[in-house]
Amino acid sequence: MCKNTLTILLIILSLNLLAKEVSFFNYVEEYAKGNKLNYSISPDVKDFKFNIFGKDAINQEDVFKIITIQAMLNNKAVLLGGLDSFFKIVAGREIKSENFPTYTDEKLLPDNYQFVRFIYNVSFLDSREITRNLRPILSRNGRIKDEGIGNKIIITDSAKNISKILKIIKTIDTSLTKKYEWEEKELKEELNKLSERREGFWDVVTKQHGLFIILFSLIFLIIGFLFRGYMIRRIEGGL
Amino acid sequence: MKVLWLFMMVLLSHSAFANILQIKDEFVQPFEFEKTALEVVIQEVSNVLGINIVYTLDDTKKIRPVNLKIMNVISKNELKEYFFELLSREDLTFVEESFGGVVMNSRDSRDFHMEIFDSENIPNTNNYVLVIYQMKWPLSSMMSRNFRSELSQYGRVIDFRGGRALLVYDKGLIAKYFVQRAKEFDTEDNSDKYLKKLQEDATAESKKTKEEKKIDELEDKIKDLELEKIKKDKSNSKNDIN
Repeated sequence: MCKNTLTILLIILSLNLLAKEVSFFNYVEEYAKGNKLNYSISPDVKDFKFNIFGKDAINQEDVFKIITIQAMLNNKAVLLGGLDSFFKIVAGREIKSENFPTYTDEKLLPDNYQFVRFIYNVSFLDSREITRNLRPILSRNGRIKDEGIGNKIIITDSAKNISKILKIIKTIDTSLTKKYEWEEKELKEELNKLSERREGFWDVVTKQHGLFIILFSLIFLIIGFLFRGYMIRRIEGGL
Repeated sequence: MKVLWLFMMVLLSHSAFANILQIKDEFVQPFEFEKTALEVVIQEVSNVLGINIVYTLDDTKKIRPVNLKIMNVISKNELKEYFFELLSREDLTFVEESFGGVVMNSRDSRDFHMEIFDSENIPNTNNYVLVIYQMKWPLSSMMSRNFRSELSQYGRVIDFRGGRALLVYDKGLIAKYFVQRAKEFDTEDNSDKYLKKLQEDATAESKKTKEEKKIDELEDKIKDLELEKIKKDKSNSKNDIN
């Protein structure tokens, strides 16, 4: 009996050795302590657990990356900026009311999933088409909008997802696609012209029926008077 | 004696759970996962490939035990592919990162960074990839509309109508098939036929009365509203889970 219990205990122990199960809050605490950083976790963020498998030591940059990944996967976001040596973790629905670090140079984007804002100048394509089409590949709490006039687009999302989106935009935002876009516009105009309804006689009649009633009344009045004149002259023996 | 017994038990239990995969001359020896827990598989793979793997415990999802029998010696890259195959059966994906990678639900993976491939270099993988295919003829919207059903549950296709480009997000093998179909379709002949069809449709549209057009518009509006409602319901249920 004792041996069996011991065996089960040892098996559980060996299983625990396989992976490092960590609590998100503890992981954040350890990271902040190690790097002497201040942090704040929103009351709406609940703790959860995840596993880290592997023998290799993970450097501090990658530890922060894991924190941002876990936040993304659990509908939360890690934000930097404002105060020095400070980061905060907020729930998904709180992201809208937060301020983010703004970037305009792709090379300066952090290599992790913290939430940031990026302003991109579109060179050739219509910025409206980009914002319309790229919405499905933004993350759950990501936003994309265009200024309309200046062909600037503003993306708010995780830094690494923004770098993915920028790669896509750069692949299609070329002079060749500008040419294609013009051809597409011309075709659209041609099709619009073709699909416009051309008004037939009866369309005009039904549209201007008041005018036609007056016109036909006048015509029939004239015909009536002519017929009356003709009949009178017949009866009186003029014809 | 007791100490020896204890040592033996630790050794035995460890070997039973953590040493299914053996490496010899950089090749993985034949092995079998029989009703093995996915956590054990992830641990084995991370040991053999020498990478760290992060895996979030999802209480709402029931992961089935894994069965896999490899009869021949395979390379580490092949092992990775078998690993992706096992993950994809449970709707999971592996996203590579500098420290190794993250195992996550396939539906979440589109929020993460991944390599973008052109149409010539799509890998034969069960892992999710992002592919951009620039079409020669203006057929991208037709292609994305009519062939969308060829993609997997979490697959996506986005068309940049103006730029004649298709953005495909799906498992490598499926994305490759999709792009292959797009390439076959991308001919001048098909483009002419498509334009002719558009012109015919436009002419037919011009013959419709105002009332008929209004009915069509209202029907389109109803469809859009229904789609919006489905999307809202889905996102609400997602938020409830979180």
